[in-house]
Amino acid sequence: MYCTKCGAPLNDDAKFCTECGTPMEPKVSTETPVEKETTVAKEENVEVVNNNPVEEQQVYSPQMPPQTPQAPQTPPQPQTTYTQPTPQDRGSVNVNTTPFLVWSIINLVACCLPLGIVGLVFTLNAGKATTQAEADEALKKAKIFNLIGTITGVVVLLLYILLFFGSMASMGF
Amino acid sequence: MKINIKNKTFRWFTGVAIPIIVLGLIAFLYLYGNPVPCFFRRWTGLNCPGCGSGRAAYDLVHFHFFEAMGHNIMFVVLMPFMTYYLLKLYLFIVLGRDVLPFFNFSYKQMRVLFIIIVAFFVLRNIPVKPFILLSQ
Repeated sequence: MYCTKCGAPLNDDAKFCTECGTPMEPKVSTETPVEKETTVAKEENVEVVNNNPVEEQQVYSPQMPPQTPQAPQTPPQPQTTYTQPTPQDRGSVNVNTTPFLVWSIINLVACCLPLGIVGLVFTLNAGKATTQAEADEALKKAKIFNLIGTITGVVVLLLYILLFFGSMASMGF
Repeated sequence: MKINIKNKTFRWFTGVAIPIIVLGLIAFLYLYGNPVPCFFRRWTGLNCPGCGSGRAAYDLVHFHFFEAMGHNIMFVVLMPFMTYYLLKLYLFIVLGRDVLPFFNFSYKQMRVLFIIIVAFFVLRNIPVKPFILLSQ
C-alpha cells in the first residue's frame, strides 16, 4: 500500500501515512467498527438512562483486536473536515499542483517555451478549479503538454549531441 | 505525478544512470557549451523566457555569475530551486520516500510567478537600453 498523497510505502493496515500524516482510506475491516461505534454513540445519546459501558464493550469486542478501539475513533474527524467545506471553498479540492508548476517552469526555461507556458496555464487552472473533477482534468492536460515538451526537449538535445559528435568525427578528430 | 517506485531494478537503474547522465551533460556543457539553439528565437526573432539559459548554464559551470545573469537572470534565479526539486525527485525514486521538504504553492503564488514570467518575456523583447540588459 502506498500513501495517496506523497507515495510513501506503508503497511497494508496503516491508518495514517507515516511520512505526511494523511489519513488513509479506511478499509472494510476498519470501517465496520467505526460505524458500529457511531451507532453505539447515537444510542448513547438517545437512551441516556441505561448507559452501560460493560454492555458497550460486549457489543464490539468480538469483532476487533483489543488495541484497535482507540484508533478508529480518529479517522472520522479529518473526514468531516474534508467534506464539510462547500464546493465554493478550495479546501474541498485536493490537488497537488506544485510538481506540475515546477515541471512547467523547467520546460519553459530549459526547452520548449510554448508547451511550458501551456502547461503552466493548465496548472494555474487546476489551482483555481472549484471541483475535484475540473482540477484533475486540468492537471491531466498539464501533464500531457509537459510530457510532450520534455520528451521533445530530450530528443532534440540527444540529436544535437549526436550531430555534434558526428561532425567532429567527420572532421577527423 | 505517479511513479512506480515498487520496481527495485528501476530504482537501481535510475539511481546509477541519472548521476552518470547528468555528469556527462555537465562535462559536455563545460567543454562545448549548449548545442541546442532556441527554435522560438530562430523562427520568430524574439527572446523567449528561456533564451540564453544555455549560455547562462555554460557561464555558471565556469563560475562567471555576472555574465550568466546577463544572459538570462530568471534561469539563474530559478536554477537552485529546480535543481533542488529534481534532487528531491531523484531521492524519492531511489529511496522510495520523500526525504526533502518543499513548499506548496498556493494559487495566488502561482499566479504571481506566472505574471513575473510573462512580464520578463515582454520586457526582454523591448529594444531599449535598460531592458536590453535582460537579454545580452
